[in-house]
Amino acid sequence: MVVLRLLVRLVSFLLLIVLALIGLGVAVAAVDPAGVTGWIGLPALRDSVGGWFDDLEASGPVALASALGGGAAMLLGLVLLAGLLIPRRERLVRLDTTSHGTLSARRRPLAQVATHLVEQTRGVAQARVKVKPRRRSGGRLRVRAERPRPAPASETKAAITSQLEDLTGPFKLKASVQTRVGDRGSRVQ
Amino acid sequence: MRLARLALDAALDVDGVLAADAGPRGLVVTRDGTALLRGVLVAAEAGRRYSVDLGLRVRLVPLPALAEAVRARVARNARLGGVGDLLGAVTVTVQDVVDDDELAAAGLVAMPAPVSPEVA
Repeated sequence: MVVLRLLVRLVSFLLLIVLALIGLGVAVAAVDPAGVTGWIGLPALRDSVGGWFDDLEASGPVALASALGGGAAMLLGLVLLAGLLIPRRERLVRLDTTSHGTLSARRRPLAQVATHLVEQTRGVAQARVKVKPRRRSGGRLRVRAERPRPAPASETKAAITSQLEDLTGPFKLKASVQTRVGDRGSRVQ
Repeated sequence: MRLARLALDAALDVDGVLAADAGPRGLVVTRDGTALLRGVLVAAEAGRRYSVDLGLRVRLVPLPALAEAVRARVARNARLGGVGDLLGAVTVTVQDVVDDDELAAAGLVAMPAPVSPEVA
């Protein structure tokens, strides 16, 4: 995202320069049209690119290159739009709203709390939690936990879900739990 | 500005709150000339009141109880400071959670308010 924003800034700056130069050209052309067309060599340009336009109409490498160029330009446009339109602010997870105010949290600390709770569950060796906020309030906790081979997945999932109730219960948080058998070296709580 | 200072001091007094945090982009701040309070943002809201946003780094504690304690302490401090009538909604944003192991590893204790000098 940072790269997209930098790209948008750079392209915006370059486009401003191009726009300024075009404006200057239009102003000069308004004062002396014949001089400008002669200076930039419009008649010669027409002769030189006329053949290229003929190639463009026919199927062949020039047409293919121009189609690829068009596609790339559209892609660049989409990238620039994404850089402009995707919101800059990190979306917070709104946990609780009352008439007295709101309790919200960044995703990382919330995931940290959830991970801490999950790793206290009996039979869980290691866990990773990702938090996805909902637009209005609450969010979704995606838990991936490692369990030892003998422990049934359903039991571990139930234990994790129960363990997370301290966090999901008071707020509009929904947990989805996935477990997998951990590596031999992983330590079990 | 007075309300911002009172609210920040109140929040930092609550057990479980380690420090104020202006957020990843440093937007939760209140500025008054050259002075800057980090971790609190006071904004006017309807009815001649001011909402208070607090960005906090907290210990691993139950968050609803913590938020309630912060709100109660802020309301109390505002009342004692004579600006209780101005206090609107208090938003608590948990910017970071530090568990006891991290605290011990860093040798951290509750930090004082990160305030620039001489704030009104």
